[in-house]
Amino acid sequence: MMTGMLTAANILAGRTLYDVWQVNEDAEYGEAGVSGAREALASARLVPRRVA
Amino acid sequence: METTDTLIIGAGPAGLTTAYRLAKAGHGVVVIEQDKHYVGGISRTVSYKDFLFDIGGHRFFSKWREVVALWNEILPDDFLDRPRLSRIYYAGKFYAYPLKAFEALRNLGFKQCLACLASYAHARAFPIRDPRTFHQWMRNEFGERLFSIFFKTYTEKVWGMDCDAISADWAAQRIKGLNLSKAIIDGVARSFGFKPQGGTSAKTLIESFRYPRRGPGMMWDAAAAKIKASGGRIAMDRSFEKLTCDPERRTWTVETIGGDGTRETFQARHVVSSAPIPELLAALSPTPLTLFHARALKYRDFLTVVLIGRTPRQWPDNWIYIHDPRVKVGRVQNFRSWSPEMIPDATSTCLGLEYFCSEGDDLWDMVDRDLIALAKQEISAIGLLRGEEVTDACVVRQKKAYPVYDETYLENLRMIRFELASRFPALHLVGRNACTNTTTRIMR
Repeated sequence: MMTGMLTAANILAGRTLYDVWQVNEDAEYGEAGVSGAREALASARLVPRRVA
Repeated sequence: METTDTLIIGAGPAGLTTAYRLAKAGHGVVVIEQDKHYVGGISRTVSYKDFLFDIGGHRFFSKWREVVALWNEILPDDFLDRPRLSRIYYAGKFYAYPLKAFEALRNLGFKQCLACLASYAHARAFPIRDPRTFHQWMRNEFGERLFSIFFKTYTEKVWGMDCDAISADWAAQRIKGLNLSKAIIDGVARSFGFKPQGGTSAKTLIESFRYPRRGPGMMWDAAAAKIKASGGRIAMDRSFEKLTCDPERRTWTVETIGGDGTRETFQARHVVSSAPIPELLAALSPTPLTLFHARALKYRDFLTVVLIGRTPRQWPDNWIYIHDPRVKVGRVQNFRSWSPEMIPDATSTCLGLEYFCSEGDDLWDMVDRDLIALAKQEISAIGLLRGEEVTDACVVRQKKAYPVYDETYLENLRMIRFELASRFPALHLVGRNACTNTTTRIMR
C-alpha cells in the first residue's frame, strides 16, 4: 500500500518525489517525517541466499 | 480507444491504493483486473456457500501512520481488533514460537527431550567450523534433532529450497535473538520466581491486529466503490497483451483482452503495474534489454484446500505451522479465529490447508478432487479434523503468491529497475512484485 501511496504522489507531482523501488515494507519505521517514508527507503531486506 | 491519465494494472492493494489516491485528486484512472469477480488480488476474500476465506491470512498492521489513516478512511466502521495467536503444531502438540524451553521439553516427552539435549550438547561440543549452509548453522545453534523438528521441513516447504542450499548468513539474521542456552537459563530463573532481564524471552506471542469483519476483501470492495464514485473505472476480467511506449508523444498504448475475447485499447500518460515483472516485461514494446533478467525472477505459488466440517476439537490460533515431514501441508488457517463473520453459522469449523508449490509441479497440477482427498487424509493424519467430520470442501489457487528471494533476485531486480527508470519513465511498478514483501501477509 505504501508503494501505491508514494507512486500516486509522484504522478500527481509530475516528478519523482520518492524512489518507490527502495521501499522495504519490512522495515521498522519512526514516526517522524513523511510517515516514516525516509526510514523505509533507507533500509535493506533479508533474503535467503544460496551457498556460494 | 479510451483515453485516461493513468492506466493501472491489477486491482490488488497496491493498484487500488494508487487508483484511490489519484481518483480522489481528480486524476483520471482506469484499473484493469484479470479476475472475473474479485478485487483485492491476493488479499481478496473468496466466498463459497456463505463461507469466506482469506488467501494466506492478512493481518492489518502498520507502523506507517498514513497507511493506518487510509484504512480508516476507506473502511471506517468495519474493523475488528483480533487477538493474534499462531503456534507450531507438531506430533499432536502445540508449541509457541519462538520456542519456550519448558513447554517444548514438556511437549516433546522425556525420551525425545533427552535425545534433543544430547544432540544439542553434541553440536555445542563439536560445532561445524565456519558453517556455510542454513542446515549447518542451525545444527550448531540448536542441535541436529531440534533443527529437524522445528526448522527444516517448514523452511523447505516455504522456499522450495533444500536447507543445505540456503546460505548460513540468512539464518543468522532470521534467527537472531533465539538462543537455546539463554532460553533454558531464563526458563529456570522463571521457575524460581526471577524475572528475566529485559523481558524479551518472556515476550508473549499474543498480540492484536486489525481485521475487516468480513475479511480483507471488504476493504478492497470499499476502495473500488470509492474509486468509481470519484469517476474512475475498474475493468474486470481483463488482462494486458501489449504495452507500447511512444517516447515522442509521451504516451502509452495498452492493448487488453477480456475473458470473452473482447479487445479494448487504452491510451494513457502513465502506466502503473502491480503485475508480476516477467509478465509485464514480456508485453513491453520496445522490448526491454532486461527481459532475460525478468525471466530469471522466480515466484512461488500457493493453494488453499478449504475443509468445512463439524468437530469437537477447537483451537484458538489464527493459523498453525505444520512441521511434520510426513505431510505436505505447510500451514492451516482457522478462519473463525480471524473473524467469526467468516463462518455463516455458530458451529461449523472451516480450515484452510495451505500448500506452497510452484506452477507446474505435482501439487499444482493435481485436480481439485485429488487435492481435497489429500487434504482430508493429511488433516486426519495430524489429528485436527477426522475425514468423516468434513462435510464440504473447495480449492482456491493463487499464482505467483510471493517472489523467491534467491541469491540472484536483488541483482536481477537492480538491472531491471535501472533500465525501466531510464527508458520507460512513465511506467511505475508497485506492490509486492515490484519491490518487496515476505511470505507472511501483513497489510501495510
